[in-house]
Amino acid sequence: MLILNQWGRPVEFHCSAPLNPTRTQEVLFGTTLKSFLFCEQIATALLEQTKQTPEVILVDRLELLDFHAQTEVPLVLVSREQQPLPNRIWNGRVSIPRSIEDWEVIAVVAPGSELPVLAAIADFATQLPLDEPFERIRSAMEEAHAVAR
Amino acid sequence: MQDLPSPRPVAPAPGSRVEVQSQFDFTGLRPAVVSAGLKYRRPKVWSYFFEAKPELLARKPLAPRRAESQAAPPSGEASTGQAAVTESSPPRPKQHTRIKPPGDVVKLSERLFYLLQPPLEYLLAGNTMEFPFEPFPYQFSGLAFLFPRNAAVLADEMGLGKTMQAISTVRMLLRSQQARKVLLICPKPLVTNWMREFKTWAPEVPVAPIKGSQSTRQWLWAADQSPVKIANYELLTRDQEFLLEQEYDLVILDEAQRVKNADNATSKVVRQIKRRRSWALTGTPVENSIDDLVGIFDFVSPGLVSKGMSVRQIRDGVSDHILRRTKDVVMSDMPPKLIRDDALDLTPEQYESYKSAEDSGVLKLNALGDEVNIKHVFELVLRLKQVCNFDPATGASSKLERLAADMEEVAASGQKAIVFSQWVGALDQIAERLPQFNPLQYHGRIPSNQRDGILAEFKQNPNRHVLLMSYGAGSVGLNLQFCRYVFLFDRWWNPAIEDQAINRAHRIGVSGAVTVSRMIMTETIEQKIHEILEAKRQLFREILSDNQVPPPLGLNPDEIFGLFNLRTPKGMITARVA
Repeated sequence: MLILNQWGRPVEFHCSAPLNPTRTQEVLFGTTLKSFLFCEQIATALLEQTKQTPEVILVDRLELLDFHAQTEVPLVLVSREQQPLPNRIWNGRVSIPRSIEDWEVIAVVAPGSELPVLAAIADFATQLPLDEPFERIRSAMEEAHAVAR
Repeated sequence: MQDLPSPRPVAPAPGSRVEVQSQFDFTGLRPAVVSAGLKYRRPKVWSYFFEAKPELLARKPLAPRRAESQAAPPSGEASTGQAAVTESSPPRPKQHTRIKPPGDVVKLSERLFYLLQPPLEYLLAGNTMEFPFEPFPYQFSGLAFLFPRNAAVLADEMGLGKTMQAISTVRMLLRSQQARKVLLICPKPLVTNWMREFKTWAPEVPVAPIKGSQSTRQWLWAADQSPVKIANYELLTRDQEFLLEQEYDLVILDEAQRVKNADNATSKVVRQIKRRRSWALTGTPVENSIDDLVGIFDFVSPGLVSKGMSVRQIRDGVSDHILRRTKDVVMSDMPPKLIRDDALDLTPEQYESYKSAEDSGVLKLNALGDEVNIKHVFELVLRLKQVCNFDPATGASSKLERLAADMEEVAASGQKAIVFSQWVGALDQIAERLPQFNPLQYHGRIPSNQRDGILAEFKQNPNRHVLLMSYGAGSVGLNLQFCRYVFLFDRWWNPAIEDQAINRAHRIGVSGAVTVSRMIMTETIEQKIHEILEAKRQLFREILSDNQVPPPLGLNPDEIFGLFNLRTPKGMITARVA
């Protein structure tokens, strides 16, 4: 998890140890396993360590939209292609698909708060490509793994 | 219908003496329950917090929340309409240049700090850190190279903008408060050039040149608060006492080949300066031998490499600290540099003088026997080279005739040319005999305070067609890319110096091909030197290539004596050609 300030510069970075599900867990969680691992385990653990509460969380995987159940922070899925809107009831949240610059986004927000969230994302997109911070996370993870080895 | 027995054992009535034997006993038939562990322990998390430093740029932060008029659809409605987007999005950089952590940064948190920065193009695309010209992609790479490094040599070929890259990176360091005190050291003639470049590329950064009387300089060293100070090499030894009292966040050596010889006084002073970061700028990190590079690294990263190490060891040792790009690689769309060797014959008068000087000179050398040394040979070489320029008795000169003819063409096409010679006397003669081209002179005898005016006059006055320069004064740091012609009236010993001279004109911003004419008198000492220079040029390329192990460099004593078919006398001659 990379927390950026308003200029796109890093403020905090959190990464977890890898998780390896057992066969039993794979069978029993079925298709919900990724969502469980990504959201309830990893993302929750990462968010617990942050000193600053992010205003918006950008994610690049559909499964991570389930994280809304663990946090009040608005979630925005960033993708180059339109994602199928998950067939799911967002408890107390609304999901809003949009095209911003060259990206397709789905925002999962509390009703009434979508405007500032989408405006902030649109502003951010004029300064940095929305998927660019994920490149940084990936290279940081590669570096961390290389050190661990 | 028979009642089904109770599945559970029936307990006897209290006080009853009758025990009823159950027909079915299910005791012990409960299924065993196996619970699968589905709960995970929370994964271990590593956290890194980055110091909130002032921004590199006073960029506009993300705009405050949008006005309702730019609103998205009413809440709760899923829509595919266009979201509110800024009205005038700035052009998005096409390239992402990332700041990579240097090899000597070991701590993971520090490496992550660099890796997690946004691409340089976005860092620099702020509203207040503007560039007068859009930097080239390789220049962004240069900034990304310098920015994180404590020890760095930027060794780009001349004309690729080392100055701009250094200044822009200094600007970034100052803005992010990673540096507060910067000292730049350059040759004296280039101080005004650096001042001008700072004004262009970092107009908001106060810069103080160290100059004036001793008391003034003492005050400048100690009390002036400018974040950037510029000193020239020549005054370092004089101001050593004041200089070494200070501590700098960054010291930059321009034309760092000046400290290649670790034993000279300037090098010794430079190495003693207290500093956190050390950068060197040079287009010629290797002028004569790989030891030149070792000398530069004695300042940049003391102890990293040393004399006696193999070339491969040195190359491996410095590889993370040195960045060199050449024009043919990074500026593929830059107009070409056309090298033309003008092989000329001596005039009859020159020939007579030349033969006479050569014969008598060689006789003298032979007469010296074992006493002969490099100095004796050099004296003869210089005398012969002077004859190749002008006949000392009559002033006859094939080169001048050729130059005059070429200049007719240059002037007729409205172009300008630079003529290089190693002798001011030769430049004087050219100036005297080519008045029709309104020559200007720029060399060591021209006072420093007049030099900028001469360059401005040359650039602005369309009737000034030729600038006569000495290699010493005009080979570094000047931007004369409006000139399309360069004449090397005579040749310098070192091809790197010649390249620097040529690249005054063939550099970024040049509007067309640059033609370089190298004048060489056939069957003379010049031709022999030319052949050796070409061999050295090849060696230089090999040293800075990645794959080849270079052979030894330099004109060795045998080569020098070979100019006159003299054998190396007995005994070791250790002098080197510089």
